[in-house]
Amino acid sequence: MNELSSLGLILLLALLAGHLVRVLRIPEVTGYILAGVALGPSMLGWVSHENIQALEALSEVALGLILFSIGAVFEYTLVRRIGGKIVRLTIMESLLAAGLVLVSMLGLGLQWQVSLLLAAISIATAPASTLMVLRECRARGPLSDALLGIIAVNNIFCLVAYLVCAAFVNLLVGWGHGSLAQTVFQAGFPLLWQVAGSVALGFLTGLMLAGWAKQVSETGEMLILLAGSILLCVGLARLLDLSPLVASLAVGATMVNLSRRSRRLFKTLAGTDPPFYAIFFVLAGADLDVSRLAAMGIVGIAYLLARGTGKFLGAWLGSRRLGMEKQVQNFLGFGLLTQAGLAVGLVMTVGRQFPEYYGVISTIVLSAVVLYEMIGPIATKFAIVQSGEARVTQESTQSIWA
Amino acid sequence: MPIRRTDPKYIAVLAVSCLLILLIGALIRPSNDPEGNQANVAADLLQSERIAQRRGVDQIADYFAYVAEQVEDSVVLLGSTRQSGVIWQAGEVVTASRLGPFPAKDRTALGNREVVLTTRVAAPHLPYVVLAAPLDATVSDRRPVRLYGRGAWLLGVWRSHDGGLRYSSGNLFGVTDRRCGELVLSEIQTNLDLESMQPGGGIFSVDGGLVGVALDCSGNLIVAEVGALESRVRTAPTFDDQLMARYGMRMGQANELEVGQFNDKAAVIVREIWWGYRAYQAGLMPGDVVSTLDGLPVRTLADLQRLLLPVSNEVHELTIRRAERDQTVRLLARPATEAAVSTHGFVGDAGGLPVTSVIPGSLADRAGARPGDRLLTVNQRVPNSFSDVEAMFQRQAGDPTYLVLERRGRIWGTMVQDDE
Repeated sequence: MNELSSLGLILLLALLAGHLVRVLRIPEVTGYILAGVALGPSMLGWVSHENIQALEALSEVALGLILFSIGAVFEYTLVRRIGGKIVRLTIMESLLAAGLVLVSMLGLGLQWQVSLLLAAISIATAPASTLMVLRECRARGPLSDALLGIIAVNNIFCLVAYLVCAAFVNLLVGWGHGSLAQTVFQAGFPLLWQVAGSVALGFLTGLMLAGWAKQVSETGEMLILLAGSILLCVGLARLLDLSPLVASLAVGATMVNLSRRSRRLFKTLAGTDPPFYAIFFVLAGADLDVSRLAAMGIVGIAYLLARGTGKFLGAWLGSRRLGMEKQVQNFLGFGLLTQAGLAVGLVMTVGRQFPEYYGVISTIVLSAVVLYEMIGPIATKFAIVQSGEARVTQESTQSIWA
Repeated sequence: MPIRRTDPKYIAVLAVSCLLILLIGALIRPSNDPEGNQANVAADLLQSERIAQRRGVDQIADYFAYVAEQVEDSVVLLGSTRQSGVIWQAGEVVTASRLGPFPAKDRTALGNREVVLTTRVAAPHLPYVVLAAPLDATVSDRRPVRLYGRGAWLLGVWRSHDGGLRYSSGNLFGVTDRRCGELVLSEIQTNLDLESMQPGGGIFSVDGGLVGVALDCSGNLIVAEVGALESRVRTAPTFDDQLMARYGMRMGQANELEVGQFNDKAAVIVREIWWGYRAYQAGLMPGDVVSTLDGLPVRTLADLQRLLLPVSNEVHELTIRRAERDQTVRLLARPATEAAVSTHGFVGDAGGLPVTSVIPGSLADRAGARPGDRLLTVNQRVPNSFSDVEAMFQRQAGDPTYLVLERRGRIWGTMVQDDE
């Protein structure tokens, strides 16, 4: 099948799956992902690996747009109001998840390097599916605010944690070869570059976007401007070895703080982007290799349980200590289970940086991602509905900031 | 005075700082190769410097000797099979598979001490063997070959029969997918002299990274890329794999054509047997229909799960139907790796008629026969000559015919039907 027909098939089946899962009261995102799994190489094979690769650019744009939307949580007044709490809460859930994963992996006899890298990867919570569930439920309230804030901060945390762990492993592996300064530079540079460089790139793109947006009045032009900026930002980030994820977040954050028209822009975006998201999630589903579940083994199950327990415990303890609302304490953990793109991206990085650990890490993380991708959105929707923050369940394309 | 958030001066300062960060970062970041991979450990940089210093041809030869010495400890000689193996990771050696069962235990010399290796993964349909070894040192630094450009120098390193270190150099041309039995591996294309190399030897980049292993693929030595091999080595074995590893046989549920031939609606038939393995020793042949296992009826493959129970020295009793007669076969449940290894090395006791040529498009061609194969049976009867075979086909008068062929220790059955 060629790319255009598989794209058509993806959109139509995503729609169909979206309708079907609504009957079952599970989130549309799960429907899209399941449609992807069915279409993908691990089942029907109508969408091949080549198709997925060819359509990857669309996925990247979609992810860029999603993170751009999430970047809006860094709005100054919002950050001042709940920023501190969100950061402390994120530290708590990330540390507990990573800690439990580290201890259980070491306990099962894995090498310390592998355990450390796995612990860092376990921090990642998927922003895209969480945002989609929040939108679908038109969720509003303290739990939704906390969730959005955490998924924004959490991914930066995960990236930093991974880079620190990778630098540490690199430092010990490279110790004794070359000068100390050289070794430290080799190990520490990616850390600084990926964080500071990505934020700088995102800020500059956001600045350009905010400045230009003043001159643009038509909705259509606004969308062209936005798509152009996001594409440019993601493309440059790839070119410079930066994190497209952090850069897109920074564009959103800059935009929301500098442009008075940002609300309109985010609203416009929410009205037009569903096809991108459908493509993104179906492709994400098609890329899941369901047969990996069979190879999961005890270590995979331990990773799954340790990460889940860590997220739950961390969210519960953290929100209790910070005196947050009851619904946040009770349900936040459910919303943090999803794991997808960033975790997979980091596994690929492991393949490049530490090929000797790639086999074990990819088997564990990729099989866990298959499960988390399916269960995560359902758990998030459960949390939103149970906490009473879901406003509507039929119409799903409105932005929660609209 | 506090700075306002949207103060143009404040934003300008931020923008200039961001620009500076990007400019400086882009300038000082480690340079990338065309595929976007960076040298990420200081050791790599140091190695690259050393290579750069040795530009002359004589110096290159020196350098190859130096690299071979550096990686020497991660290439071992296996005592009983006399082939090389590479230390894949702590406690694990990977080598090439060979015709016939791989010994359950092997030994190797490491420095001054002798180490006993235990076979962990060995099956006739897999081109590699994984051995467990009580070693913790000198793990090969495995690297994906895509880290290196076309034309990069490669070094094949192996052990000769007396344990001496041997190496030869060549260049990397690319990577292609290669079917090896049922596996698809990534084959490294290189002009290394593989003819002189030992199976199980390692292929290293000049910075000392293990990029491939020399494996025997249907009689040809190929270089399998480590990345693809690693993912295969880590794949959990299927029912088929386990049956193959323990007995050297493959079973299958009869398809539509075979149901007609074997007169059984739910026949479980033997499809493939490998020379020297337990099933071969028990006398099983492709085309045998298994009707009972240890007295219990066999209707589906699931009824054969008993064969994979962790038993030792136990004997399974199978009732099979061959050429319309029931027979009992005793199959030893011990893993095939403990079977005696042929001392002389000649393999040829399967008998059969040697196939010298095959007419393209003919029935034999469609059955997968190739020159060098041996035709063992036609409809479970042993032919004495090809005129016998001709007569047998004529008797079939267009009905499906079951052929059993042998190639390099693999004995497999196939159903053919004349279209005319």
